[in-house]
Amino acid sequence: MNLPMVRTLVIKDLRIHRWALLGLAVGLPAIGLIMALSNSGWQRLGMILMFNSMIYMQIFLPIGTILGEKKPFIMSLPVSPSDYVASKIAGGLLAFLPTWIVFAAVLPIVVERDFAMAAGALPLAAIVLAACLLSYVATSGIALIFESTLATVLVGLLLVIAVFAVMPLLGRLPDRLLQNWAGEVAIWDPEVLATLGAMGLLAAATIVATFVLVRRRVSFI
Amino acid sequence: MTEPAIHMNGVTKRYRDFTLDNVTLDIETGSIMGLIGPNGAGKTTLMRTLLGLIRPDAGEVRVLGRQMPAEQVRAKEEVGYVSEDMRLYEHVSIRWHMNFVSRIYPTWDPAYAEVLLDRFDLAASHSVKGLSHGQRVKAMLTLVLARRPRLLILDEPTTGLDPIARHEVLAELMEVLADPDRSVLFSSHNTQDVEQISDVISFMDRGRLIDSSDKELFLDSWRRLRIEVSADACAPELPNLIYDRPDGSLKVATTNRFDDAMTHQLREAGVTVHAVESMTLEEIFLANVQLSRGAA
Repeated sequence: MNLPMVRTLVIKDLRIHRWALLGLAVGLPAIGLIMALSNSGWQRLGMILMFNSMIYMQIFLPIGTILGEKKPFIMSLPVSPSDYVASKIAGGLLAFLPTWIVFAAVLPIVVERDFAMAAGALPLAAIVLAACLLSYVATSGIALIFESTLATVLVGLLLVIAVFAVMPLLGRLPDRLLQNWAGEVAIWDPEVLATLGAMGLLAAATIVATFVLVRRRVSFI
Repeated sequence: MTEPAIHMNGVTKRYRDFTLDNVTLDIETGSIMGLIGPNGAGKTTLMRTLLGLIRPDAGEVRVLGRQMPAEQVRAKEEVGYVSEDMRLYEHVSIRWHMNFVSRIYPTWDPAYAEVLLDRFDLAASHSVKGLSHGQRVKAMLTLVLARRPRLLILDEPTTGLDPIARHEVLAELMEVLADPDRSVLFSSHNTQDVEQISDVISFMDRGRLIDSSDKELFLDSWRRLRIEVSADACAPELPNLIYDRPDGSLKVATTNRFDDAMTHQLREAGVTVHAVESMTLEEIFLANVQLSRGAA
């Protein structure tokens, strides 16, 4: 793999999608600020905007950067399939992570103020954040492997819905965990750490599987 | 002996509804091969195979001495490729594309790039979104030619261009092709364009390379004969002679191996040869396809 070429392609992607990324970079902190400083009505609106931004990032970012790529042009350059896939994965993460970090910074505030939950809920917030990251990695993988807008949108939506769908199941978790999450202090139970670790491993495995599957493709156009 | 710019040997690629069938092809360094074929003949598949973008099921592909697709990065450093379906980024300028490509190719010639922009009447500051189809093709050619590739692979670059843009593009290509170290594979279904710039012609149909030869040899060896067969004689079956209108005494026949001996043989068989006509490349192509499909 040619790392300077990967870097060139990543910079190219960030440059091409600069307006959308800039909008998110400016908009998300603004939303976060509004949520932190205002009453609960604005906070709810801010949270909706924040979730919409996450959905945008998870579905439309892969569509724009992967499915919208001018592949015949890029692949006519001295770019190998490995360079191409690596640049898409790295560029996608670089584009997604700032939004994700803002989301991560704002979520504890919202959890505390809007949902009247204390710092004990931070492990739960961390799991939600990890689920968002995993969902993004999986959606990008689907976009790279299948190169289908329909498949990308369907999988992206299903994964976003899945994040919310598991929420009602939280009530069936052991009382100890629920009590910890309702507490004043964040307690990082082994179950929480194991869940976060599993999600991290799954995200890494998804990235590796995407890389291997796409670079082995017989027709790379 | 120098290695050919392009070497394909027994290259086969099977799809559900199409097969690139056992293609063997050499393009010598410094030569310009025109590839003519109808839509769906396999020209684009062949060219993408040359770039390493499609891995063949069988056969060998070497481009500028590099094994494809394994050595595609090294090969593509010296290959310029433009295809009809190639698109540039809509919301950035031609200048942005030039900067992007120049960072990748050490051989990028900024002065020549400016010359090309001037000749093609392109403004580098223009966003690609506002360009016409012809201007986009010219912009892509600028991006390719200014890096001075040793091999140009051009997949239908003149398709959809108005006559003026086509003339400008072909004129620029003619100038580039004056360099004896540069080789070109140029595909089109416009036989006039191919005839204008190529010195070797290959015909493709239904995934197969049906004929390949020096352009002048093609034009010299193909003839249309207008003949009359007397009532008491029958049209002789000569090798490489196809009767377009088999009924009646007046016939039109085409041959790809014309020489004086053929007219002599026809006269001996009681046939009156009224005219021996040269054929255009398009007519030669159509006859070749007919011959190939008849044989298949």
